[in-house]
Parts: sequence; structure tokens; C-alpha cells
Amino acid sequence: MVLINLILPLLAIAIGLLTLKNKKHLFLLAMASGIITVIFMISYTITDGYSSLVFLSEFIYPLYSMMLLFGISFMLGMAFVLSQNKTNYRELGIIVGYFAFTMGILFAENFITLIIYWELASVSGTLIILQSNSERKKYVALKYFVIHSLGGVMLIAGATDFVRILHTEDFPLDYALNINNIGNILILGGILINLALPPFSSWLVDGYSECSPNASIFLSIFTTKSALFVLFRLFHGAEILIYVGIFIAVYGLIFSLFESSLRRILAMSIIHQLGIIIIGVAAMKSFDGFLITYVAVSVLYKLILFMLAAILINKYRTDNIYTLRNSINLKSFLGVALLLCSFQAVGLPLTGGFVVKTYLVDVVGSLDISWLYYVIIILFAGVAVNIGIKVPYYLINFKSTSHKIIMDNNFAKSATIITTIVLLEAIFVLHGIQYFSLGYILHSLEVLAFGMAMFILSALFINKREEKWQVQFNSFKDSSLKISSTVLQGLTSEKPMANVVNYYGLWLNKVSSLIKITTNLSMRYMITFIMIFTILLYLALRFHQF
Amino acid sequence: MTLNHLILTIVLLPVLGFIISLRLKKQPNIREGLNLGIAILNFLLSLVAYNKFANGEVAYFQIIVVNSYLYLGFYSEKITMIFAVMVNFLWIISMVYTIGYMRGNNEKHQGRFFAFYCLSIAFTLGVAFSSNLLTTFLFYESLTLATFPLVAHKINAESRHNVKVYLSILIGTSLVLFLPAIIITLIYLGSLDYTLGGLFIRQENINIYMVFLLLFMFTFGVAKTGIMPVHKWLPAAMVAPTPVSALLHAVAVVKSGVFVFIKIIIYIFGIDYLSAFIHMMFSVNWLLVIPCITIILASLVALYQDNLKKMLAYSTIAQLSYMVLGVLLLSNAGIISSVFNILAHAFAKITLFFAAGSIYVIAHKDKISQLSGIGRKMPITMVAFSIAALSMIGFPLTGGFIGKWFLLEGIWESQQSWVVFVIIISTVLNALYFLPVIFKAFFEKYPTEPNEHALKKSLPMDIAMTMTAICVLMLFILSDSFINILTK
Repeated sequence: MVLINLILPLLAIAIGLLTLKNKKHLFLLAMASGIITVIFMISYTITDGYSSLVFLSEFIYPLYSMMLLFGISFMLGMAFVLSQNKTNYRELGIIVGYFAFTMGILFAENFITLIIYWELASVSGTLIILQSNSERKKYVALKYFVIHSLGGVMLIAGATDFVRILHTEDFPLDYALNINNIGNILILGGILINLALPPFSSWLVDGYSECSPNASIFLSIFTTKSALFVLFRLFHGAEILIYVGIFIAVYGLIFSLFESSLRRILAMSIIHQLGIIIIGVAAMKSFDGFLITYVAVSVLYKLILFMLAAILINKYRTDNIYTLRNSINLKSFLGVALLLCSFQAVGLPLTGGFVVKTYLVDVVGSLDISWLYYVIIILFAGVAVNIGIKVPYYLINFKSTSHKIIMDNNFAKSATIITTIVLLEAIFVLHGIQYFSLGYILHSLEVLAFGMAMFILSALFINKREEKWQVQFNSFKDSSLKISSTVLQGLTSEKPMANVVNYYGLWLNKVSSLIKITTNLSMRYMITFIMIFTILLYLALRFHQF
Repeated sequence: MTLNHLILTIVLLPVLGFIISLRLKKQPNIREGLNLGIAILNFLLSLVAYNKFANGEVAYFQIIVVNSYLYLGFYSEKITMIFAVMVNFLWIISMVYTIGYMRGNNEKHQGRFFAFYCLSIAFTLGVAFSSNLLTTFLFYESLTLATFPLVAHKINAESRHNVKVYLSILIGTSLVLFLPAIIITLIYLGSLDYTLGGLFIRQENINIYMVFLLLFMFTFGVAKTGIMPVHKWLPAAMVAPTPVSALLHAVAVVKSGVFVFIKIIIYIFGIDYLSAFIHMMFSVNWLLVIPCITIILASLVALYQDNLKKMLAYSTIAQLSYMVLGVLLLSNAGIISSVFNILAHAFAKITLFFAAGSIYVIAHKDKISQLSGIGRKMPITMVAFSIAALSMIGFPLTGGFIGKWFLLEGIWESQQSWVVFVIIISTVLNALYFLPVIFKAFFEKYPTEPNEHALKKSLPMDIAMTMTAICVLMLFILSDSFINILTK
């Protein structure tokens, strides 16, 4: 263990210093490091006495699976970045180091090792941000480093107390700390700062949106996920994490509704999902790596989304989703990938998202806190709002008639990578086949409905600065009418039903124009009122049921 | 040669350097060569002395004995020996640096400068080896006077004003507070010797208010610890040439202040007595409030400095209070952290000042706002600066991390958990004022001026900076052995 702790970062530092200029070498290196990771994983399973190879669907040994996840996502990200035309090699060199340092966090056996890699990862993250062309990069990098050094010193402060009490720096993999003295609270605080605990979460949103689009693919994976792993190790089953998780998730949800930049939406949604996972950590009774499945799914589809963002930003030089409106053809490869991600986020059946969400509901159900179930549903709906509905709603051009898929050389490469990720996700789907029961499917539709409601509310209220509300409302109305009519027409091929549909459409149009003319009340208040009423009604019904 | 002789030689050799420098005003090469030789010799001698001490030899001797309590006494002690080795080692490096700086800057009166530089080292070593409060006081005062010509080296209006501040605070506090405190101690306790366990523990029925008064007088009387509100002399002293700021006002002078304070707390008051005295009134160690306020306030002031050396001065004030804090924790880990912080801070801060000086000499810039892109032009300087700045923040892989680790352990040991939050806030503030400098230096464009002259490099300065920056990293790697020496 100690040997790898030393070797990996030394290797990385050497590479970072050399800043390789050769594309081929760097690509080979990325592949080699990924393969080495896998080999190490296998060798550890053997040396620890487990003869069986750890398979993705069997997340029994969390360290190995986390390592595998890191290795695979690093390889894929590297492959994607190298397939792009413009590559900043110094940035890539630092990214290799950053990857190695976060791997060090996974391997750390004692507090000093943990803290060293923790801080080195924060420094390399800062350097990655400083490689971007953004005007605000220095300010953002300073914020990133200072907040991380706050977390780091809190970890040091807590660790010194830990060492003093136990007379050892080591902690075993499965070691649950009690949150009953200041030292342990400081350790928890230090870890939670790396998990974007809200007053200190701006490093994540600013950092991931101000760095270069290629770098944000990597930044979005490693820092928070390695911190999550440490949280698994040290604080699984701590009840306070339920409330902390809800707080983080709700914060991420609310503020993601305000954002108009694509990468900021994705970053806020990372915060939101971290909150949900933290609730899961609180529900874990032992360190069994159960939730790493959830982490894996969210990492893989975030990877696709950040790759999409990178493609769009490199092409259009902006990441405002209103400017990027209709920029992806529905019938193109990117459109399909984005739609798959959106299904994933909503948690529709036959996606990895469905599997892990049902997992999580099961885990949280073991806590015996009756209201927590509803909170989880609303939070899942939040994921559905951001990535399931908002992003594809704005980015995909649903009306396009062309059937062409734009295929230049780079595009083909990135397409291959994205397909690989989608195939990886399929493993989770296969594993979760046992969960395909009617109840769970209904539950996922419930999430979708909630998500729709939230999205419309947010679109009407919050984004009015970016767009006139009428435009939004009209487009929404048009598309919803179209969807509903096509669905109904498909279901019933008989004529009278079609007439009903037509009549329904005409009626809605008439009513809306009537209201518009006769009342001073703006339409959006009406809609809002109806929406809130529906949600309340729904909640009342659900609570009544149980 | 016994250890007694060795110690006397170590204290007196720099005086020889003083005489040589004054005699050889016109022959810079011979003068500086001899000075460097003396520095290296002194370092070797201090290593021999340390070796003898580690093998169990003990030194104690008196010179100029007037009566049973008025005499100059010297003795050997673990912390002292480490301090002496460190000062002599840094003397060699800063000698190399000073040669590069003074010649690169074409300073006048270089002979006088080198003479008083050596004299200051002599008095610093005198403070370190002294065995009673009187000897300490004499060397402490002489150190102030010996550094006075160095601070006033550039004779102009600004330096005159600053020298006034420098002398009035340092001499004022020591005459009004430090000296009376020594006299009171002598009258009440009948002795001034540094004694294991302290002088107070032997006496019965001591007036509590008298102890309180003495504590107050000693804390603020030793103004060289840079404790607020008697800290103003340190920023004022920044008017001196950078080598002075580097070796004297970041290492020798301020550290001898901390040294005196450590000795007073451990050997005059005594840790057991003092902790009993403090907890007589409150459960909280209220003494810690003074360094804590200094740490926070000095860091806040440093945030708003544009002059690089002034910023470093306020950072020094904050860091010195870390050491004062470590002693006042009155625990074993606290004292270890204090001594280790003396080492870690010395190497890091001397690197920072070296870097500031080399930027001043080569690029003629002394303000942070002017440093755009300087890292591309002077990479060695700014990399050394960055390493030292990370050590100040307490970043892993640097000596500052180990110092901070033990300080925090000491805080937990003495159960003053509120101080932990002061350290956390101070770390964030440190990061906030050091990082913008580094970012500016490396990630902004160097302004291109029409009649720009190429920056010439100075080899001695680069060597000195590289050496101290490597030492900052070595302190982390070899921290085990240092801690072993301290805990033994």
C-alpha cells in the first residue's frame, strides 16, 4: 500500500513536469495508467485472500470498485480529450497528477497520508483551473484553493485530536467515528467542504464552470467522489448526515433552477446528487460499498454530459443554454445520447438511474423515518428537473426534419467513447433487472411528473429575465399539445377520438386567448397557481394513502 | 577543547568578523571571504558543540562576576544548541546572499554593514547561551543597538522616521517593562538563574497580583516577540536592506525574542506553577487570548499590504505568535511545536525575504501590484517563494505542516479547543494573502516596457534561495529525527 502511495504521485509529478508534447505518448500513458489500476485491483483481491475477480455488478469491496470506477472514467475522459482538435498538454499533465493524487486519497491508510493527498489534489485542481482562458480564472482558483485549504486544515485539526486520543494515526477501512467531540466534527466538516457543503460550495460551481471544457470532465469526477469515499469510510451510519444531505440537496436543487449556463447547471446538479448520496451514507449500517453503485452511475452519465458540454462549448464558444437553444438535432447522435442521459436522470425503467434509485429507496427505507421517503422522491424529481427536462428541453431541436448525423473525424471518436459509457451503464441495468416491478415503475413516473411540474414553475418564474414568458409558454403549450395529441392519436386510431383531440386543442387555445384578453392577470400566475394546487393535491393524496 | 571553551568561541568568533569588516573597508573580496570563512567555521564549531552536548557533556561558566547574582553566565541546553546550529547555518547562506545583494545593488558603506551584521549574530548567540535573566537582558539590549545601524543603513527621511519607531519601541518596552520585571523578580525570588521547574515553585505565599503584574511585564516587555500592541517596530524595520530583514528580522532578532519568552515561561515561572496559577481564576487559559488576537489581527493587516516586505513583516508577526501560543499552551506538545516552528518559520521566512530582495535588486520592484508575470522572468526566485509560502500556510510536504500539526496536538492536549478555530481562520487568511502573489507572478503577463533592460541574474542569490527552499522541504522529510531530538 505504502509503495503505491509513493510511486503513483511521483510518476505523476514527473509527467506533469515533463508536460509531454506528443499526443500518442500521452494517450498510451492514459491507457497504461488505467490498465495498471485494473491490474492492481486484481492483485489486491488475490493478496487479500479473495480469489474471485471483482466484477462491476458486485460492489462488495468498495475500494477496488471505486478504484476501477476512477480508472475507467479517467481513461474515457483522457480518450475523449485527446480526440479533440485542440489539446492543452500542460493541462493534461496536471490532470494526470490530479488523478494520481485522488487515487492516493482512496489508498490512504492513515491520516497523514490522507491529508497529504487531500491537499495535493486541491493544489492540482487549482492549477487545472489556472490553465483556462477565462478572465475570472485567478479569482476562481483562489476561491478553490482557499476553501479547500479551510477543509484541509479542519481535517488536520480533527486528525490531531484523533491521533491524540487513540495514539495511532491508522484507521481501518471500516471505522465509524462518533460525532460526539469537536475533533470528529472538524473531520466531518473538512470532508463535507470537499463535498460542497453549501456556504462553501461556490468552489465547485465556479471551478467547474470556469476551467477549460476539457478539464471540467475530470474535475467533476475525482474531488467530490474521493471525498465521498472517505465519508463512506469514516462516517457511515451517522444520523446527522440525513439532515446535512437534505440541506445540500435542496440547496443544489433551488440554485440549479436559477442557472442559465450549461456547466453551472451540471455543477449544481452534482451538488444536488451529492446531497442525495450523503442521505444514503447516513442509512448505511456497515461499510459495504453499496452506494458506490449510485456513485458509479452518476459519474458515468455526468461524464457524458460534460463531454457534450465540451463539444458544444468548443463549437459555439458559449455555454448559455438560451444561446445554445435547439443546437442539437434530435435525430443526431448527440441528441440521442442526451436523451439517454435525461432518461437516466429521470430514472425511467431500463436505465441505470432506475436501478440505483430503487436501490437508494430500499436503503433509506431501512431507516424507519416515514417522511424521508417523500423527501427522497422530491429530491429525485430535482434531478429530473435539471438533467432530465431542462437541459434537453433547451438544447434539443425537436422540430428538425433532417435525418443527417454530423460526422467529422473528431465527432466519430467522441461518439465511440460516449457509446462505451452507455454500454457500461447497461451492466447496471442488467444487474438491476430484479427491480422491474410495477410499483417501482410507477414510482419512476411519479418522479417524472414531479420533475415536469418543477421545471414549468421554474421556467415561468425564474428564467423570465432570459426570455419573454410568452415565448416560453407558447412553445411549451405547442409542444405539449403536439405531444399529447400524437400520443392520443397513436393510442386510438379511430376517428371520433381524433376529433376529441382536435376539439380539446381548439378549446384550450380559445380559453387561453379569452383569459389573455379579458383579464389583467398574467397567464403565468394562473399556471403557477394550478401547478402548486396540483402538487399539494398530489401530496395530500399520497399522505392520505399511508 | 571542552564544551565551555567551544561555546565561548562560538559567541566570540562573530566579534572577530566585526573587527575584520571594520578594518578591511576597502578590500571587499578579502573582507567577505574572511567573513564567509568565519561563518563556516562557526557553523562547524556549533556542530561539534552539539555533538559533545548530545554525548552528555554539560557546559556552565561565568565571566565578569560582580557578586552572587550580578554576572554573565552561559550554559548549554537542548533548545539552545539547536538554535545555535540553525543560526550559524543560516548565517552562511545569508552571507552568500548578502554578497550578491550588496554588490548587485551597489550599496554604500558595505564594510560597516558587514561589521554590524556579524555583531548582531554574536549578540543573538549570546542571548541563546545565556544562563540567567541578567545576561539575557544585556545581550538582548545590545542586539537592538547592533541592529540600529543596519536598519538606518539608507540614510534618508523615511529611514530616520522608521529608526525612531524601531528604537523607541524596542528600548522603551525593555526599559519600562522588561528591566523592572527583572529587578522585581530578583527582589522577590532572590535569583535570576534559569531553573528547571521555575523559580516560583520554591517560594511560598506569593502575592497573586505580583505574579499577574510580572506576567504582564514580561509578555509585553519582550517586544521582540512582535506581540500586539508592541509590534510596530517590525514593519518599521523593513526599511533596512533585505539581507537584514531576512536573517535578522525574520530569524535572529525575532527568534531571540521568542527564545527569551520561552525561557522565561519555562525556567522562571515554571509550567506547573503557571498552569496552576491560570486555572485558579478560570477554566479557560486566558493567557492565550493575547497571541490569538495578534495572529488574527496581523493576518488581517497583511491582507491589505501592497508592499511585499511589509506584508512579510505582518506575516512574521502572526507566525511569531504561533510560537508564543505554543509555549503558553503549557503542554509538552506545545513546547515541541514552538521549537519546531522556530526552525520551520526561520527557513521559510528567510526564503521569502530572499525572494523579495532578489526581485528588488534584479527587477527593481517592491510592490505586490507590480509583480505581474515575474514568475516567468525569475522562475527560481518565484518557485522558492511559492514553496516557502506554502510552508507558511502549513501545507503538507513543507516544514510548516509539521509545526502546525504539533501546535494543534498541543492545543488538544491542553484542552483549549477554541484555539483550534483561531488556527483554522489564520490558515485561511494566510492562504488569502500569499496566493494572490503567486498567481500574479505566474499567471499574468509581464508588462513590456519600451526601453526595457534585460534582467541580469545573480548566482549567489539563486544559490541561497534554492538552499533554503530545499531546507523547507527537508524539514518535512526529516521531521521524525527533529522531533525525536526534541522529545528525548
